[in-house]
Amino acid sequence: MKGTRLAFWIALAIWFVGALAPLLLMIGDSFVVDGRLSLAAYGDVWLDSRRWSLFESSLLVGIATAIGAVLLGVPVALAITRFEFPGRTLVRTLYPLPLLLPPFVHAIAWTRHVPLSGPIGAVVIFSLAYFPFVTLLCERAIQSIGAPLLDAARLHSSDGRTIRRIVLPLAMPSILAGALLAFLFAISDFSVPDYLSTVGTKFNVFATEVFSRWTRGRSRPEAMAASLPLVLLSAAAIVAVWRLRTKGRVTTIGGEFAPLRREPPRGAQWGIVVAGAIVVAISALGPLIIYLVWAGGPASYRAAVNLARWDILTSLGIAAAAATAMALVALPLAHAAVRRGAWVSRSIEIAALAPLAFPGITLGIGLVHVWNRGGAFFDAIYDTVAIVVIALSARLFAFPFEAERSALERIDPEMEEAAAVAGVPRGRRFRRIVLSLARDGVLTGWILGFVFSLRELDTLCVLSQGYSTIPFRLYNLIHTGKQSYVAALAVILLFLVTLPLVLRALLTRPRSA
Amino acid sequence: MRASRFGSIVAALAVAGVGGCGRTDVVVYCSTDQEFAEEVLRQFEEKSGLHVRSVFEAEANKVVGLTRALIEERDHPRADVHWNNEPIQTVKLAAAGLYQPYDSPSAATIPAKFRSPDHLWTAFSARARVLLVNDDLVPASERPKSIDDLLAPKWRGKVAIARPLFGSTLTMAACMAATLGEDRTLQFFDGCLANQVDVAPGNAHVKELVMDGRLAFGLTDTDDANVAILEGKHVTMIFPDQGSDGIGTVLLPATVALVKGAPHVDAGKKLIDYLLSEEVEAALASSRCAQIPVRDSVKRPAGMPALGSLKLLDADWQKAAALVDRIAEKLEKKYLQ
Repeated sequence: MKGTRLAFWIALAIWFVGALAPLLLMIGDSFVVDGRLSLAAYGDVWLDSRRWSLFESSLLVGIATAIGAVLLGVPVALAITRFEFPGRTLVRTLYPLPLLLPPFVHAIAWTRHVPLSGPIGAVVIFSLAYFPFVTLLCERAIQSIGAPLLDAARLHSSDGRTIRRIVLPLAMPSILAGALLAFLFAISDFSVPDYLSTVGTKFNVFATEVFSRWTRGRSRPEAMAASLPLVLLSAAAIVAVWRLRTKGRVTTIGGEFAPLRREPPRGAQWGIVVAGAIVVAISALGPLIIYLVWAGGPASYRAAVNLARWDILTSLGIAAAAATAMALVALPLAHAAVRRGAWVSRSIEIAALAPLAFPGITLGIGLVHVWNRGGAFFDAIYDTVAIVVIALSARLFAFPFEAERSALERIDPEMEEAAAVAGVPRGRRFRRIVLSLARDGVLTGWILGFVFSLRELDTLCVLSQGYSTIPFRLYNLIHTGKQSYVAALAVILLFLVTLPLVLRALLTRPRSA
Repeated sequence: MRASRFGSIVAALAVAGVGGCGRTDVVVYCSTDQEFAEEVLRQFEEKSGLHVRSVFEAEANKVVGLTRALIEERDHPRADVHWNNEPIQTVKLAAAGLYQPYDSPSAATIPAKFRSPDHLWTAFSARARVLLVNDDLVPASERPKSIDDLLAPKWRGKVAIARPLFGSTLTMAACMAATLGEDRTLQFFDGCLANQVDVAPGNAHVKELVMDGRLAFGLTDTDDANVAILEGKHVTMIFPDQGSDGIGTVLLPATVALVKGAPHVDAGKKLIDYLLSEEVEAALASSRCAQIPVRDSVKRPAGMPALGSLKLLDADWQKAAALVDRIAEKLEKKYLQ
């Protein structure tokens, strides 16, 4: 079997065992009661009006978050792709930062100084945390448009009209995809609504109901069935994201492509730049400044490092290992998704996104069932951090996969075909052409996998090897520790998630024809 | 920065973080707060020479993670010892057959009511439910004395409890139901809703709200209250319902149990012996968590009452464990809509 085809089948097998098998096991398990096939666990899923009311709350928060993410994210994307201005690199480097902090950390920071509460408070927090999804996808879409198209448009229209009539419509599928990702994450979070409804307006969301079912020792089928409405809604959002991404593919990298030129903003264009800069300043620097002031002097940082040094090291190591695993497994699958037939492509893309539809704890329990079997082989996985790397890779795979797929689809297949005709072996074609041109996407994918791994908590909460991490320590310090130590550890986490962004800024090179 | 250098950094990170898996002699799943338990376990390592792998609960999960992990791992247990922070889930896990009996010699001086008759678990080092009062907002003459003060109209919208669907507030509800009856218990929680008692995500948030002066007082646990006091806040901790007609305060002792099928049984027993020692109870009493020893003979810090001096809600934990799911279901219908 040829090299790259073998790599594809190996990657597919790893992905199936690591991510899909645990979820399929959990779904199948929910239809078995007392050893027999049964729908008993699903009996009351559809009957309780209280649960539908919670579902409606989640839906409204999700939709409002999606709108908020678009309103915040699009100006940032336009500012960094269309204009050259002082501080542009800093804005481009910092805008993903809010995404990398758990939303609960945002909520604690902001509520110290701003009277946020209730559903509106939750939407504000979620929008600030998740707008980078919109910016990231919109940025890539705009960069793919290419200069000749816009140059032609600007011969007949103003810059503003060009943005409204050409740039935004072409980028709209990606904008909507980003908005749906913000929606997806908002509807599955219960910690922020819970925290913000402590004082004042009470509101509850469906994710709290799901969490409650897992906590009360409910049987797995019952707890799994209780998650079903959220899973179906999340799955619908994921399918929509996938369809929009398919629609949003604009151009490929080939002989005729010329990247957009950024120009200094003129007149009203400064409005977009200022709006984008303000959004990034508030969302990225706001929590940082709040926590810096709250932490106080070096004593807090020394205490936080003293308490959490092993957690910090473990988090970094696990995140690096998971990101590397994801980047390696994603590459042959992403390549197959852009080069194989429609049926294969669709299947791979949906499978890559599927784990995001399930609550993290569901995946975690599924992994326990797959890997906690005794015996040397399974112990070597389950009794070590390998199970944590698998859990994170399964949960977060979609991000590196999408980044790499997005980079690979912009490579004109004719370039690979020309090399094939010239007799270049498949492996060398892959290394010299595909990897070389997709390097930025692979790096972006690695960074996404790394930073999301650093902040993940829910998936690891039933895996005994997953407890020595920064999020666990942070949550526990919030409960019992000195608040200044909490703030110091939050600053340390912010610093750690920023490092890869700096790396990205240093390593990303301008695309050339 | 070249790709090769980047790859070296990645590899170094991965090895540093992932490669630290050393020898493990005993594994403890611990729902007691990490900050307090870590020091105890570190002392055990020093004294015994055994290496402990500690798995702590994330406060955000409110006991769900480790309880669930124990249940899901029952066919191939990984934990040797379960150190829980409340008795009801322990009783449920014991009834589900997840523990094996061990009569620790350290438990000999622990009162019988804190020991399972079949030696499946032993309770020690207790928290208690308390009212944490902000002294700047509540004059001494108006301090609450009972949990029913949460229902008083003059405190409408100015007091808080933690959401009674998880953690120690649910445990309290189960103990109240087992002792006072479900109707009385649900009446109390209905009253909280009617009096617009703020419902916080957890006891720590109740503490913050009272500490920060946003609320007058709240129902929380002794460890949270003590942390607020140690931070120098103007707060007072009150054990509620101590009067002759009071129901008494709810006690939440920690428990320790030997997991059935534990991979390291002998080491597990040694750890249990250590945790149940008077030395550990004294250490936990003098730590920030201020857990009350169940043995009056154990040295307590100044100001900490002896357990025997408190009026306690005389809860039957077996009965509470049998009721807890039903109570949670009913509270969910009220508090989660």
